[in-house]
Amino acid sequence: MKLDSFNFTVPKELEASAPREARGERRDHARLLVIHRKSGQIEHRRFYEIVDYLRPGDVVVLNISGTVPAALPGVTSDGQEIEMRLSSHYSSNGNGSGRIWQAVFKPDSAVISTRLKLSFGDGALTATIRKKRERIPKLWEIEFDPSDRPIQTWLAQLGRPIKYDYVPDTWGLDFYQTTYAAVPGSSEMPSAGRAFTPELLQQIEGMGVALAKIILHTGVSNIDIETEQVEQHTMYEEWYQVSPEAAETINRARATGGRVVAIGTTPTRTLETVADEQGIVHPGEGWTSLYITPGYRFKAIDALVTGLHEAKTTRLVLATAFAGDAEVVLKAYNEAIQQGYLWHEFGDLSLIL
Amino acid sequence: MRLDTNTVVLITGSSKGLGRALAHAYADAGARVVINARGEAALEATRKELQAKGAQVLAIVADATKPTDIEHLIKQAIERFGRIDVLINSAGILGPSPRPNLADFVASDLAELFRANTIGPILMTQAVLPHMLRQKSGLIINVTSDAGQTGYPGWGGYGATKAALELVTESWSAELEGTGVRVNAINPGDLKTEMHQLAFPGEDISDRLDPFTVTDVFVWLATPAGASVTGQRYDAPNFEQP
Repeated sequence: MKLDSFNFTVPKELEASAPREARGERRDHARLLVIHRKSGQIEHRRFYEIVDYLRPGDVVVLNISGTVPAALPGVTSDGQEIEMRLSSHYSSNGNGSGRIWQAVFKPDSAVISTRLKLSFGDGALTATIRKKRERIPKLWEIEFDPSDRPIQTWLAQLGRPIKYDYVPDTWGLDFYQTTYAAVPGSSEMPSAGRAFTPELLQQIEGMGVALAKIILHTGVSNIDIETEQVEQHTMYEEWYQVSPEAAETINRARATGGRVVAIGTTPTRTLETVADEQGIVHPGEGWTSLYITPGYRFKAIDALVTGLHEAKTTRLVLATAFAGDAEVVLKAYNEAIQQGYLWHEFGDLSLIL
Repeated sequence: MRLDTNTVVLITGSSKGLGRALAHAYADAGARVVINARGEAALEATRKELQAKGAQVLAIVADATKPTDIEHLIKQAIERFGRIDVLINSAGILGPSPRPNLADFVASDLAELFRANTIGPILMTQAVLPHMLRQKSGLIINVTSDAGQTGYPGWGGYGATKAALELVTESWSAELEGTGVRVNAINPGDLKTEMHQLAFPGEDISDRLDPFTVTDVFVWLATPAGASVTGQRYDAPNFEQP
C-alpha cells in the first residue's frame, strides 16, 4: 500500500495539548469513534460507553507497562545541547538493566555520529554513540559507561517524560501513566488505555468481562514511515511478556465464544506475536518487531481500541489493517476531524469492531 | 455460510449474470467485494444494489484480459482492502452468435474467444498471485462449462477455451502445491443469463437455472470447510455441502 494513502492533515487545534483532567474532565469522558468493520458504519460516543459494546465472556487485554522518564537532557562532547530519548534497550529481560540502549536525539538538527560522547547530569552519567541503526530512521544505538547505579535510578533522577511540541506545558509522570500501569519500562505511555478509570474497569469486570494483562515496553513513537510503500518500513524491537495466566484467560474467553478486545496496538502486536495459526495465545516473552500492514490476517484479536493516529505512522497502518478497508478509516477520520476529536496521547480514542 | 470479516473477493465480469449473483452471495456471507466489468452503467447498478444491502464494495471498470487494466484493478483492490482472498474468473464471452460450427469459425473470432476465456483468467491469476503468496493463502475459481468436457456440435470454439481453462486450473493447482494458494474450476450449469440467451438466440430459456441458485459451492470453497480443496472441478447445480 502506498504511503500516500495514509496522508491527511490534522488541524493544529485538534492536537490535544494537555491532559483531559487539566480541563476538569474525567479521563473516561474522552470521545470514542466507533467503527464497525462489517458494515462500515461509524458512531460517535464517549469512552465510558465502551460498556455498550462489550458482552459477558469477552476479554479486555491491557498493556500494564508503565512509562519511565525516558528523556535525558545532556551535552555532547562537541558541545551540542541535546535531549536523548531512550527507546528499547538490549538486555535479556526487558527491565533495562543492560547498558546498551537505542535512542533518538532532539533537536532534529543535532549532529550525531559514531563514537560521540554524551554527558548527563554534569557528567554524573556518560554514554557513547555506538552506531546508527540500519534501515530505521532516527534511531541510534548507545552504550552507557559503567556506573554504580542502574540506569533506572539515573532516569528517575535526571529524566523527564518524553514530550512533543504540541504539549506546551510540562506535566508530571503520572499524567503519562495509565491508571493500571504496574511494570515500568515504556519510553512512552501505551496511551489507548489512558481513558480507563479504575471505576470503569471495575464496571467492566462486573459485567462478566475478563481482564488480561500483558506487558510490552514501548519505544519512542515518532518514527515516521519514510518508504514509498508502507510495507517496506522496518520496525524496531520491543520487549513483551505474556504470562501463563493472561494466555489462559484469553484462550478461555475465545474458546467459549468471547471476543478478544485489545486495548491498543501494543497488546495487539504482542498477542499476534505469540498466537499460533489457530489463534491460540501461548505464554512467552521476548522481542517483537512485528509490523502489521494491510492484508495481515489477524489471528488473536476481535476488536481494537486505539487512539487517533497521525498520517504515516505504523499505528495508523495497523488500525487500517484491522479495519480491513482503508476507505472506511479515512471516512471515519474525516468525520472525527469535522467533529473536533483530539489527537495524540491526551486525545480521543477509537473502537474498531 | 459466513466468512471472516476481512475476507476480500474479486469477481471479474460481475455486473451481470453469474458474476453479479456471486457478488451478492459473497456479500451476503460477509465478505468485502470487488466487482468488475467493462461497461460502467451496469457495473454501477450492481454496485448500488450491493451497497444498498450494507456490503463493502469496490467497483472497477476494467477489461480483465488487458494487462494494464488488470494491473489497475488489482492495485485498486489492494489499496483499499489490503488483500485478496478469492479471485473468481467469471468474465467470459460466448463468441459469435449464432454459434458457428468449427468448419466456419473465423480465426480472429477464435483468437478473441481464447483471449477472453483462457488467457484473461491466466493473466488475472498471475496478477493476484504475488499477493496470495505473500498472504500464504488464496482461492482462485475458474468458471468453466460442461461444453469444456464434451464435444457438442456448435460448441467447439467456446468449449475448447473452457477445456483449456480446466487444464490450466489443474496445472495451476499442481504448480502452487504447498503455497496455500488453491485453484479450482466450477461449471455453473445452464443459467438464465444474457450470455446463455446469446447461445440460443430467439429460444425460450426460462427453464434454465437462476444464477442466484448455484452460488453455494463458490462460497463454500472459501469457508474453512472447503479450505483444503484444490485442483478440483465442481458442477454447481449438483453441489451439496458435505
